[in-house]
Amino acid sequence: MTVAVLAVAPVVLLTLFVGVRGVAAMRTTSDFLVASRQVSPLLNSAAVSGEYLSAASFLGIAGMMVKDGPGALWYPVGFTAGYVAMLVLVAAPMRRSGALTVPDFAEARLASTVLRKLTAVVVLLIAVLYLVPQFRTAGLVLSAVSATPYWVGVVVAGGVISVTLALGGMRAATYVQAVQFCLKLLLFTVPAVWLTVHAGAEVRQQALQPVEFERFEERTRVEFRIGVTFRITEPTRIHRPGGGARVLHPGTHQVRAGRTLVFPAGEPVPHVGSGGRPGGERWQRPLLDVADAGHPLFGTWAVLIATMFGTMGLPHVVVRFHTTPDGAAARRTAALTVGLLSVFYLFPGVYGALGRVLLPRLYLSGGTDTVVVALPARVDTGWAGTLFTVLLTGGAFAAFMATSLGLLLVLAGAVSHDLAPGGLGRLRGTALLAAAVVILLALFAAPLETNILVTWAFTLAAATFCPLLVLGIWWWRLTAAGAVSGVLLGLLGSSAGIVVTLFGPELSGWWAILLAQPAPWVVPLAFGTMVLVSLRSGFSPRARSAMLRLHLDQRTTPDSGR
Amino acid sequence: MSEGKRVPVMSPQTRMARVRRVSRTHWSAPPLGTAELERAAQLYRAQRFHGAITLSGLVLLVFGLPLAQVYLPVVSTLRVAGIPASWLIPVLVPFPAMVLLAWRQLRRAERLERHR
Repeated sequence: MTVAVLAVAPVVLLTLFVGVRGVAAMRTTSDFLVASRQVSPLLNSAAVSGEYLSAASFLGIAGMMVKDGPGALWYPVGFTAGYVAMLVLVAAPMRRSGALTVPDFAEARLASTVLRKLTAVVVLLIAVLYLVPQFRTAGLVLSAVSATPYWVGVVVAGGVISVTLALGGMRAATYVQAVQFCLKLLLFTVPAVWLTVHAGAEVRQQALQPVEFERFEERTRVEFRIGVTFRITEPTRIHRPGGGARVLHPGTHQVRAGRTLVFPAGEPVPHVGSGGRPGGERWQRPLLDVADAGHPLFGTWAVLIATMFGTMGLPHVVVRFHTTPDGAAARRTAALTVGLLSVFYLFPGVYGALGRVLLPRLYLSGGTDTVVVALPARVDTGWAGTLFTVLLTGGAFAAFMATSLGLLLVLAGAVSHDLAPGGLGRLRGTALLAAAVVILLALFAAPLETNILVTWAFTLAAATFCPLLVLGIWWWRLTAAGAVSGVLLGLLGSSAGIVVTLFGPELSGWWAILLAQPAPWVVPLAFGTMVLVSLRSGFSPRARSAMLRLHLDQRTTPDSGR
Repeated sequence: MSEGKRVPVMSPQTRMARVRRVSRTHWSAPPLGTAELERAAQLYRAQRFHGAITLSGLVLLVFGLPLAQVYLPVVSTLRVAGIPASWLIPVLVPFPAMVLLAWRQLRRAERLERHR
């Protein structure tokens, strides 16, 4: 409990403090949504990075590495590549459009109210899909480092960010995210170095020579925080914590959430899923075999397509570019962000490699997402271990909050600026209401895999907003009809794939990979639909100048003044 | 003091702004002049050309590296300072390369806008 309070209290207080300071400076919708467009490139790029380094980056990559091997290191490559593409294709022209939100841009460029409403609905979907796993991980991490129930972390994270946002809007969000970027960078890099040094030469050596986790080397206690199905191939002895042993026969076994099993030393390690155990074959060649389909190269490409094109279309990232004074500053923001993210992403691999040696049991309990915060206590049982647990938990909490702030902001913007326009009061109210809804959703989301929801959000962004922005900015022949049909097909295609993966029958081979990670077909489909339908529909005589305007480096960039 | 209604005192601009806030008519920018349109078209073409070069580099880098891991057998056996090269490749190659690409693209884009 002390660990949780020590770690979370400073981050929460800092966030609220910055939020309260922003109250006085806010008068209009523009203040709330884009901080009056007065944010400098350096501050903004820190805020973009702070917002972008979510639970997935702070905890998820290391966790995936423990589970799936070093192939997980391709995720950050796709994330960062998205910003390079953003710098080239989106940043400056997008800012020059003078829009406040992505639906605003769609309407300004293509003069279609239908498109505006449709894109607002997509923003809503992406924001909810992305927010739920943030809150979920907040709950899981707090319960992992102390004895708090799952709902405490969810409610604390949700409550703090909604109040901060309702009070301080984008200006508060900007400062909070920028401060939290520095915090996260510090709280991620310093413990990584300490862990590497403190783990000792033997562990370092083992980390670099992966051996499959076949048998428990010591008596291992596994707490199943979520329900897990595992498969065993030879009789395995287990103990209950209260005493009493039994032998599990070969076959599949289900463990309900909340159970604890103790495996004696020397017993074989059960298999979870079909992807092999930590340290196995996957550690020899770092690629991502999506859905265990047996096509690792294609799987890696599919993930890279989803993350790279998805980043370009994530509405909470795009809206950050609107807070800069002009197009050139937006472009500088994107370039600086590439640098800042590149520094951070040098480190997740360290946690993953150490986690495989020291905490392979997390693979069994489905708790690999907590590997980062669980490592210090494994390396050092004294005060130093506790201190670094506190630091890493604080950093992880900063990660959820910075990302959630941005997402809640676009959620509030989509509802009360794009769908049902209202003033500042309604925006504030919506922020609180939306947070309440997401908290409720997250309370029931504990058994869902973070990865699936985040993949869904990224693929959705890649198949809807990415083609809309890229074609809207670089192809004047794009029409409203083309954009609407492309966005609709992208939405349906990516959602169908994920829904089948979640609720449909077990698939294998190409079908499994193309449905679990639909980006490789759904992104070209959305682009193609937009082009074909646009070519067959009539264009407005002002379309060409509407597009060219986005490329004109005016000294004073227009503000829609809404 | 007791007679009449109390009326808030505000500048005409504030009153207009308060009235306008509720109405949401579509905002459209004034049309561009011929000279501006010409300059915008030039910038558009130049930026498109340079952007395409950067993007090609990015795509080659990001999608080529996993390919190299599959088709260059040397990668899976090589170790640098004890660390498997195949683990270092997704970290130490793409990030510095992307920082360089981004920096170059930024310089290009800004120079184009200054010179035209």
